Amino acid sequence: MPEWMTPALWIAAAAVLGTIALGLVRVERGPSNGDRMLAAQLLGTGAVAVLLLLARATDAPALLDVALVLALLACVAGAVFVRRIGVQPPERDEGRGPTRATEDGS
Amino acid sequence: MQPTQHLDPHPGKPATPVKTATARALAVAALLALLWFVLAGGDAASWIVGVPAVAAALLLARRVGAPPPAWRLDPAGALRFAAFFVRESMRGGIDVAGRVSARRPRVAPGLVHYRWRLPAGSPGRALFVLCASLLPGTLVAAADDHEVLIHALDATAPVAGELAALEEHVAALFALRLPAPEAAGA
Amino acid sequence: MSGDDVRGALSLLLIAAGMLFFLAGSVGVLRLPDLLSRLHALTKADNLGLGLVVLGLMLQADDAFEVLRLLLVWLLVLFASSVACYLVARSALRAHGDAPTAAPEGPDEDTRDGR
Repeated sequence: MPEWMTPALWIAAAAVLGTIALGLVRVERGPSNGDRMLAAQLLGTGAVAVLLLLARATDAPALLDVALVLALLACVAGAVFVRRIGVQPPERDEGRGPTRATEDGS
Repeated sequence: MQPTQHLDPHPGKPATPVKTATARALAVAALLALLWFVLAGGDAASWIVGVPAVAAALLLARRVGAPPPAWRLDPAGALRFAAFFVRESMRGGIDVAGRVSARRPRVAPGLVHYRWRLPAGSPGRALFVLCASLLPGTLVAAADDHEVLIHALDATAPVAGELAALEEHVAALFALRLPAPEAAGA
Repeated sequence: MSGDDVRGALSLLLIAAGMLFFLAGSVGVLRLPDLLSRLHALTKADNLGLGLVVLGLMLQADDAFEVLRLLLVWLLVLFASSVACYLVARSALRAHGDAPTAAPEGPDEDTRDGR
């Protein structure tokens, strides 16, 4: 590959990271815990892309495996969230803190 | 326990399950081993981890639930399904990107009921649920034995036709024959 | 301009297109009005974005194994996010109280009808 590729890949990885950061605004806003979970899923997919780009940029194929594990964990996180907590009706304003599983979802 | 099914998945062939449970377990093991082979990049030493991993996956799969009824893949159907899948992924992504970047997001969300044509118990239903969220503007929000509940990003769009097309491709992949389309419940 | 340059440029083009879809996904998650609609943006846009990035990187792969592994990563992410998306959507629908007849009550039985 041409030598301009490595910096280009770094820039691409940084850009994807930026869009993830943008999505994290949703974690802050909520309003429901489901919205926050969704933003966490966004982080999972985006982080896989970042890792794949970095794997190529730094010539470290092991990052591919990290990406795989991350993808699977993101799914498990979603399943555990739904199972243990479940989407709750939006909290009233200032429901900023971490939502706890005080009530059963179903 | 009993893998037989009231709906014959292969018209023209006897309804008895073609493969025994062990044969199917072996097929799954071979598939998992292939997966490992690709993941490990063909490294022979990696089988020290790979073989136990495949065995653990098989045991876990047995514990999680009853084995699905016998099914088979149709190679030609699988190819057509793959092409359809790629095309729909692109359409779905472009569609949603266009909708959200309009000055005022072009959405009219709503729920649509869709009646299953894929037979109950078929692995095709799971595939359908997974893929429906890649079709432009649809998302499966609930499913039971009779129907799926679809969340449509634009409920005014002709969603049922898209879903029927997906169902037909899934059926072709698993060499199933669907009942004739009736007026899809909206 | 060598063949490598062309391939590199094409690869970068695909990666750049993928970034656009990641951006669209984030924008959708921010702009769309409700949880279920946001899920649409998340699954479809981000998965296509990742697909394009994967395709771009495939053009730079060293060998066939790497191509296959990249493909596998994409498929697994698709699978994982599709499952998570379905689970969150179902849970969200119940939380809104207008749970349709299609959704059985117990979380135990209905994890299996999706299969």
